[in-house]
Amino acid sequence: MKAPSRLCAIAATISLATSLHALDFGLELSNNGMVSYDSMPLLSQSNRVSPWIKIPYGPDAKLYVSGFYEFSAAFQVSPDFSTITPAITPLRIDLDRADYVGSLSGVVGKTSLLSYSIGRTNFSDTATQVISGLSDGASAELAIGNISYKASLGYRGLLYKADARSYIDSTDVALDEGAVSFASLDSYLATYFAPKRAFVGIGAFYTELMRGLDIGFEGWGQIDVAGLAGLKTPTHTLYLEPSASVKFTRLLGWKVWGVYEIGYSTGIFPSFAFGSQFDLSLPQYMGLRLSQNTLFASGNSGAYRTFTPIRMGSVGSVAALPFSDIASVSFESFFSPLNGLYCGISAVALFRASGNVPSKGSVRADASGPYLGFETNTLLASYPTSDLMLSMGLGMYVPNTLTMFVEADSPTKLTLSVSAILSM
Amino acid sequence: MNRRLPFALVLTFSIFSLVGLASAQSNEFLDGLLAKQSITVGQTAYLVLVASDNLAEDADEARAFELLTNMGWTPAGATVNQPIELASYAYILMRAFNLKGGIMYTLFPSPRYAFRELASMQIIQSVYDPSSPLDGSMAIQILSMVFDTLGVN
Repeated sequence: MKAPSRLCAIAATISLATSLHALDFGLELSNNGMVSYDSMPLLSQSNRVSPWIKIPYGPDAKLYVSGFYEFSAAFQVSPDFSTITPAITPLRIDLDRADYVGSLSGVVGKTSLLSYSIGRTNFSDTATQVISGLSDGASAELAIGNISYKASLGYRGLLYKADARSYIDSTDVALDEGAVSFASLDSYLATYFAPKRAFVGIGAFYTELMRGLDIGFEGWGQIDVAGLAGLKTPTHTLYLEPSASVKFTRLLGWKVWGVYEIGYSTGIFPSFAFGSQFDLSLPQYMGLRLSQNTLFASGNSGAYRTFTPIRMGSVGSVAALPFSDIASVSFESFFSPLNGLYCGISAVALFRASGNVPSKGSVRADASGPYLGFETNTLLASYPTSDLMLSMGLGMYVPNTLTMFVEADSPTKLTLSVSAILSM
Repeated sequence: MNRRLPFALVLTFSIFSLVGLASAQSNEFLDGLLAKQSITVGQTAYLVLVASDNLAEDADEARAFELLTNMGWTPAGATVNQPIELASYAYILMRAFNLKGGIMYTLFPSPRYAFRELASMQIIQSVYDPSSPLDGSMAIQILSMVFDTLGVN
């Protein structure tokens, strides 16, 4: 071991040892089961054991490391219940959130606050439709009075591909659709991880520009690392995202955002997405919260191509359509009828954003209009004790078989899910 | 002006809570406690046991510590003048006020799970380090939050 490496190792050991007295740790056990039925019943089950440790470094910084072991299985049952086709993944071990987060006050003036995080940490744009969830990298936010500035830099090639949801070009889609291969280490590494893509983001946000009005502007860039290395045709993308949030009263607010995407591969291709959300809180009625959401993501139409974010979101939880070439109008309500019991009811109408064939389902030869179908969901969540969470969800997706999908191939889909999480 | 109103309300409420608490305990003791950067196990014992009616107000810290030890709520190996950790303080509060905990606290009653219980009740902020010492004003603030949770005046 070279001297600098040895010094680093000693410093890290001392640093860890001196902070171990403050170490906190725990374990989270979760169990998720789901039954879904369209033309054939599908039973799926997953169990996860997630250990975590938290090491504070003074009052303003801490290291948090968590990972998990997961077992998952799915059983496809034939319509006459004569055959059951299992698909079992007995072992999946991965890192979950693992980051060093902290803050420094007074870096630039007395009222400034610099917050930072490094490691496998959460990254998100304002709308959470360009990027969301975990990535490996670093982010910082500097708040000076009413203005804050954000900067992010990260890499997504070490994430599990199903978590990364990277579908920017056809190579990404092919990788995602391929099964994880355990044949050799090379094939495992080539099939488990997400496409090799990096990103950078910057943004500025002004709180209370006028009474009740917040505005922001972000720019995110996605760099195709595999393409730069000459392994494939590169597809780089840039996203420009203005956003605004208005508080009409203390209980009624409206958020609106838009994303203009400029992609570059063999040529330049633009696309866009936008959305808005009204929120109304009526806490005197069992803590009732109502929201109305409108989303739109462009498809291949005219000069525009399908919207391809860094991490693809989904619309609807039963239909689970990708947030690309789609529009939706949804209503959601949340309330708490009893102490520790929470209910959520939602309904969403789905539309295609262009005249293209939808990504899921068999389309009629005489398909017309944009309407794809609607979905309803009900969720019950309960915290009988502080460390136990139980939840149950019931969902239904009714495809439009009158003018869009072939009736025989597009039955109504029902899902019932149950979940339990114990924090130890 | 309107943005300052909630803060003013919280401050007023906190002062009234502290005044109400102070009337039940020695003003001299509470004044001294508010000035402390870190409070000891003995001071904690006196503060919590008097507040929970387990000890008379005219007892001293040594007697409070002895009672706390007899009840088995003293942190392992602790001495009367040793600074108390936040998690141990949470445990003493849970026991003294007979607060109900979750599955893990019920199975393994300890400072570790007591801290998490009070954090889940939003009495203690979960971002705090459970092993950090706590100052006098924070100790009184947490105690008044327990009073609020229990609906005690």
